[in-house]
Amino acid sequence: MVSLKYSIKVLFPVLLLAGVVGCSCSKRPDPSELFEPGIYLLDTATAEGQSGKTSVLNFKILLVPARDAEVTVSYTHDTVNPELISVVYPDETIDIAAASSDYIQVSEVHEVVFAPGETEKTVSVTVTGDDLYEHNEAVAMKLLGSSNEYKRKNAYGLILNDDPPPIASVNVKTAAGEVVESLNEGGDLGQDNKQVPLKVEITLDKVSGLDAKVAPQYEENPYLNNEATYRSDFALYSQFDASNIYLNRLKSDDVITIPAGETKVVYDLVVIDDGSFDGEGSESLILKLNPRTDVSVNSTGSKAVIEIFDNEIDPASIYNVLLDGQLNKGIVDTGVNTKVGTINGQDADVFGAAFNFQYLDAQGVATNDQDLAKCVKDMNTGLVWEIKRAFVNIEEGADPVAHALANRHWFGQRFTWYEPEFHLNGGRSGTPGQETCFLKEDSGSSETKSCSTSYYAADVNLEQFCGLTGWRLPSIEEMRSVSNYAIDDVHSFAFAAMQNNNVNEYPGEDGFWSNESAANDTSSAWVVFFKDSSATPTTARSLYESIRGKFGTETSFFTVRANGILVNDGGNP
Amino acid sequence: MKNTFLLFIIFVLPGSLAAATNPNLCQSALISTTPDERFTEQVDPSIVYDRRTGLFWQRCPLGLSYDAVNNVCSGTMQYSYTEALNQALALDNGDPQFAWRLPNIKELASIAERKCAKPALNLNIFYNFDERIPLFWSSTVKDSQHVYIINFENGTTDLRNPDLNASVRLVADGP
Repeated sequence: MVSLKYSIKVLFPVLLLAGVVGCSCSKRPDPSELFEPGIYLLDTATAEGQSGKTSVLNFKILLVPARDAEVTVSYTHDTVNPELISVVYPDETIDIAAASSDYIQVSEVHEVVFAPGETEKTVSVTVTGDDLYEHNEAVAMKLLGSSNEYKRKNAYGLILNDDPPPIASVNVKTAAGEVVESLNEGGDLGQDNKQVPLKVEITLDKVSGLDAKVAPQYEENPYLNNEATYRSDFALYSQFDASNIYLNRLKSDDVITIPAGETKVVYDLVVIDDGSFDGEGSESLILKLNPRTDVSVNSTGSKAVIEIFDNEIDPASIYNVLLDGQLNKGIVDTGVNTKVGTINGQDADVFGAAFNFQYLDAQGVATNDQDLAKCVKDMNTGLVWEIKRAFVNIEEGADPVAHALANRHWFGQRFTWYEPEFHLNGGRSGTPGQETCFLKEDSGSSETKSCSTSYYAADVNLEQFCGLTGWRLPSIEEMRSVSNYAIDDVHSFAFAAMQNNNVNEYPGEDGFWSNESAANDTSSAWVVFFKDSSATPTTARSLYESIRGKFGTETSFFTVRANGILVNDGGNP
Repeated sequence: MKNTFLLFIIFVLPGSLAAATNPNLCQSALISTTPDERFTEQVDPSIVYDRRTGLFWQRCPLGLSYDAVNNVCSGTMQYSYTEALNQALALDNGDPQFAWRLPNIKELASIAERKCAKPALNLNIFYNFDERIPLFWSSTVKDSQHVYIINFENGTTDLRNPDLNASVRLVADGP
């Protein structure tokens, strides 16, 4: 079967002729009343029939008017000519029927002989039935030779599809193939910040002759628990490859194709553990299939629902079980040795903890090679910090996705603050921003191209940056822990490499988002300025509230953006 | 319906005014950074121990006296930066467990309660915040004209001339 991707024309409307042939009028019209004298080959159509059965395409040859002598007419199969098939079906794709599999070809050249007085002969072509849902298919027939009598030499027989489209259904399964209806957000306690890999299977109830197209949709949660959020709670991929996550990420409304002849496609679903207690309770992910073309869905199989349980532990309960003195995060050096007059030693450091950092490479392995370093671990707090990078120029015309990936950790990237979890956002989620992060802004353009902090963290988690997931915005105190108050410069990172040792390029004017909403105005989130400028001493290292977009107003383009640096509990919270 | 709406306004307005004078404005949706569980009381009820940082804190600002019966601190006292340092040294009674001193900026900021404002403090742990004097000295100096302070009205960091006055909350490392 060859698919014709454009409309096909015939000389006469099939419907008109079908009306003549199939007319149930009390008096059958004489062709001579309709047609001028000549010989006509007429179009025809038949339902295909089911598998194992046959049906017949009856091509009529009309002789107008009846003659006194015999008339012999030769006919044979023709190649379907796309340009000759009618616009009678302008909204339909007509495929070319395949000889032997779709119909039994009449062998070579045949003749019909009109006896004197006869006006109609029938040429029958046997059609092979099947159970495949497919387009209507055309078989071409033509009269042989040339004669002034031939008023219509070419005709098409349509094999009409009589099979219903396949029914698609969706399931979420484990790698072992078991259907999942609920799971824990991450691993067990002590193995947190994991991604749980699952499979989404979209299956058809039968083989189809056509590509079936469906679109997934993350449906709003009608239940009492929370709604799982795309990218921060889960992500769906055609093939999971963290290095290439922009290319194969399935967005809601992307169209998924199940090729003709196949009944199943499988996608990678990743459930993401946010790694922090936020009292979010369970969340539901509802994946609904919307039929697009050549497929249908029914109410039972069109949705997959999984409930994701929050298994994080309330930090208050950790305080209770923590033995006094066994502290996981103390307070490290300020960098300042206070001495006023003769008074020394007022700047006591808990544990005597001077700054102590260790480079980690892309896999999270300790290294002393600055070129390999991607992250740095604070040996006092155990926190692992992202190292921000200088902008990497990629040749013009390069794939924008490659460009974005190369600059994922660019320190100039700014973000809108966005946190969909209620217990972290205090009731105002902020502005999601665009899907793709890390595209350099056009200079001078007022158009915002930034993505949000939440999307940024989600992407870095999926990358498993430095071998870790659970990347998140830091708290104010965590940012303060890596601030060196002795540095009086445009930045005050305790570890210079955190901003790539490149003070000149560093956008020190901008603050860095914390993960904390402001208590006196939850439409604001806290920003930490590492900058310490003598020109504006009152703002040095102060904490400022910055306005973020109003809750739920996606049309709010005027949203405050700031820098972001990510932190990780290092798998050892 | 109209009458009901009017009644609603009449009763809500006085409530809103009352809320503005509450000692503490807390967002129930936000997670507490200094929950009660983080602190343990000591034999001396004027001191709390912070289990997260391992620091001992005075529950009253320096210069105020603690009323253990009513859990309040009475008095008002502010110090210049140098006075504060000297006052802390003067409290040194040779007890190595409680060598009281000014907290550095990171220590002082660690007791800010981010769930709340006006003040940004857990008032179950730290008593009697006087909103007229919300600035507290840290020991951390930027230069001879600037010392880091925390404004506990909302927890922001700022700089202050050491000759000016501010409140003081002393800290000790413990044993």
